[in-house]
Amino acid sequence: MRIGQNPAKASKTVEQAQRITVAVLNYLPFVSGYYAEGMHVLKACMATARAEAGLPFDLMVFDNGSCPEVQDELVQLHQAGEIQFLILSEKNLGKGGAWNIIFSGAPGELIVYADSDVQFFPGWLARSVEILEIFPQVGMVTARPFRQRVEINSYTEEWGRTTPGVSLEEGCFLDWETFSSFVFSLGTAEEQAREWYETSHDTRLTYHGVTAQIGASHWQFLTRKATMQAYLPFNMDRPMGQVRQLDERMNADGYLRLMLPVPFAQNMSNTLPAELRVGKTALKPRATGSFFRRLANLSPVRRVLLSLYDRVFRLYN
Amino acid sequence: MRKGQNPAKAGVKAHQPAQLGIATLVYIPVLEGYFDQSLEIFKIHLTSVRQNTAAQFDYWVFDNGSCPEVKRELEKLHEAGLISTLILSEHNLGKTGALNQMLAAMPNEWICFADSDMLFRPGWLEACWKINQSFPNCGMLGAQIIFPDWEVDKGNTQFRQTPDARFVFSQEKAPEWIATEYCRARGATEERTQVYREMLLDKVRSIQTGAEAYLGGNSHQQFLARRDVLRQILPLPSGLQLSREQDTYQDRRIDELGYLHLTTCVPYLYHMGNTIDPEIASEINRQQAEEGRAQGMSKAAHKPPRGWKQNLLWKGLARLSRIPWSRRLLLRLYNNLYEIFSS
Repeated sequence: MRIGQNPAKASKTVEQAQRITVAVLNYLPFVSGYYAEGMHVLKACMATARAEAGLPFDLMVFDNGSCPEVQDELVQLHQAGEIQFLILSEKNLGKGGAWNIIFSGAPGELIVYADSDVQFFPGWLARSVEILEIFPQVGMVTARPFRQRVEINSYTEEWGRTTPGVSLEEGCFLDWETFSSFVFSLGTAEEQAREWYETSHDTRLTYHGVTAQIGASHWQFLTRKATMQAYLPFNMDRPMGQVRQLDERMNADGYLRLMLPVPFAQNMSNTLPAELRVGKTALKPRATGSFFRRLANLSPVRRVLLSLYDRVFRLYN
Repeated sequence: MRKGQNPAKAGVKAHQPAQLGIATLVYIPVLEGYFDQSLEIFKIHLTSVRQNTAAQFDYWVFDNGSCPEVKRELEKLHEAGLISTLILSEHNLGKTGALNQMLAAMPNEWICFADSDMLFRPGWLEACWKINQSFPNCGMLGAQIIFPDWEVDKGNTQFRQTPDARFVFSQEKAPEWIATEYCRARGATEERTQVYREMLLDKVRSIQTGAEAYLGGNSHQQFLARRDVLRQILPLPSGLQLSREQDTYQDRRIDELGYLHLTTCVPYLYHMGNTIDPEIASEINRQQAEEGRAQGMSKAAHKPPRGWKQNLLWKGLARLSRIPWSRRLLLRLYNNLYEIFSS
C-alpha cells in the first residue's frame, strides 16, 4: 500500500528536453575483429559531436543489442552525464527498426541522426541548422559535401533551377583532398576514386546568402521530427540495407536534400583516425549543478543527508 | 577508414517486435524514505508481469532519472533478458513527458502501460482481449476496477446512449472485498472507503459473448491500447513531475475521440504503492517462488519492522516533530533534500 505522499507530486518543475536531439545508433556485437575499435570510434563520435557544436542538444544513443561490455560502458557514460537518453535494446532490431524508435521517440523538434562512426568538426550543428532554417521545405541536411547519384537529388536540382532568388552553380568545387577523404573512408581504391572524381561534378545552391551543396545521405543528417513521421515505419526485416529508401522517397516527395559545402563531418568507419588516437577522445564528465549540489553528492555527505531524509520521512509516515 | 566488411550486412534477419509491448516507468531518485522499498516493489511487479501474461511480449522500462544504484540494477535485469528495451533518461521528464517518448517509440501493435508498483494477477490479458472482442471501438482497456472520483474521467459518453440492443447497461455496487482491497492499497480513509462501498458502478454486458465490463476511466495506473489509438492522443501535456490533471488528459482525449474506455469487473491488478501490504505478502511470495530463483531475481518480501523506532532518541524526535514550527522546518528540509537528490 501507499504510505506517505510521493514527493514527486510536490515538485513544481520538470526538466524539459532540448529543441535538438542528436541520435546515434550503435551496434557492437563483440569487441574484436571488425568491431575491435568500435567503442573508441563511438566515443570519438560522441565527443566530437559535443565539442563546439554551436547549439545545445540532448544526446540520445540507441544501442541495437551490443554485447554486455559495450552496454556497461554506455551506462557509465550515461551516468557521467555524457548521454542524456540511452536506449538499450536486448535484440538487434535492424537499422529500420531502430529508426522507427528513434524518430518516433526522440523528444527534440529537430533530430540529427548519425551512424556511430561519424566524426564531427566544430560548428557542425549550427551550420546544419542554418541551412535547414534558411532554405524552404528542407528534408535532410548532411554535414559534409560528397558526390552522389543525381537521380536521388533531382527535385532539389529542379527547385534550384526554377526558383527565383536561387543561384545554382555546377563545377568541381570539392578539391581532391575533400573528395578522396570521404570515398577512401568507405574503402574505395584510389584508381576508382580518381575515375569518379574526374567523371562527376558538384552542384551548389545559394539562397539568401547561404550556400549548400545538393545531396544528403542516410548515414548522417538533420531533419525535422514532424517531416520524418510520414516515412515511419521503416521496413524492419534485415539488420542493414533498408534505409536507403529514405533518400529516394524524400526526393520523390519534394523535399530539399542539402549538404554543407565544406566538411563538418567525416566517416570514420571502423577505425579511429590517427589524430584522435592520442588521448583526445577521453570524455570529460560535465560539471553539473551548483556547488552545494555537488557537495551534497559527495559520497559521505550524501550518505549522511540521505539518512537524515529517511528519518524525517519515517517521522511523518 | 573501413577495414573489412561489416558482418551485419550479411543479410541476417532483424528481431521483430512482439504484437504486445508492456511498458513501465521507474523513478527512484533515492533508496531511502518514501522510496525505501521501491526497487523491490518494481522487481515484484516485473515478476508478476512475466508470470501472468499469457502471450509473447516485449517489456520496456523508461527510467526517469533514478539514482545510479537503480540504473545499475535495471541494466542487470536488461542483461539478464528480463527487460527488452531499457531507456535511461538523465533527468526526470515528468511522468507524461516520459510517456510521450516511450509510447511514441514502442513499435508493438498493442501497448500495455502500467506503473511500476502494479502487481499483475493471472488472467488479466485474457480478460482484456475478451472485452476488446465483445465491444466496438475499444480505446483503452483497464485490468482493474476504478472507482471514479472525477466526473470527467468517466468517458464512454456516446456509448452510454447507444440504441444497440446487443449491449445491456446496468448499475451495481462492487463486491465489498473489492472496494476494501482497492482502498487499502491506496491508503484511503475509512470515510472514503465507505463512499466506494456504496458507489454504483456503470456496467455493460454483451448479449452475444456474455462479456461484462465497467465503464470507467482513470487509466493512469494501467491501460491496454492499440498503438494507433495512442498515437492520436500524444503528446500528453508534460509540465510537472507527477500531476493528476496531466495524467487524466489521456482519459479525456480517448472519450473526445469516441473510443470506449472499459475495465474488467474483477481486479486483475493490485496497487502495491511503496510498501508491501501484509495481506498480499503470500500472493507475492507464491508468484516469486513460481518465477524461480534461476532468473536471479531477488526474492522480495515485506521487511520486518525496524527496531530503531523503539529507542529513546527516536521517541524524543517523534515528539519534537509534532510541534508545528519544527514540523515545518523538518518538512522543508525533507523537500529540499528530495530536490537535491532527485535532479
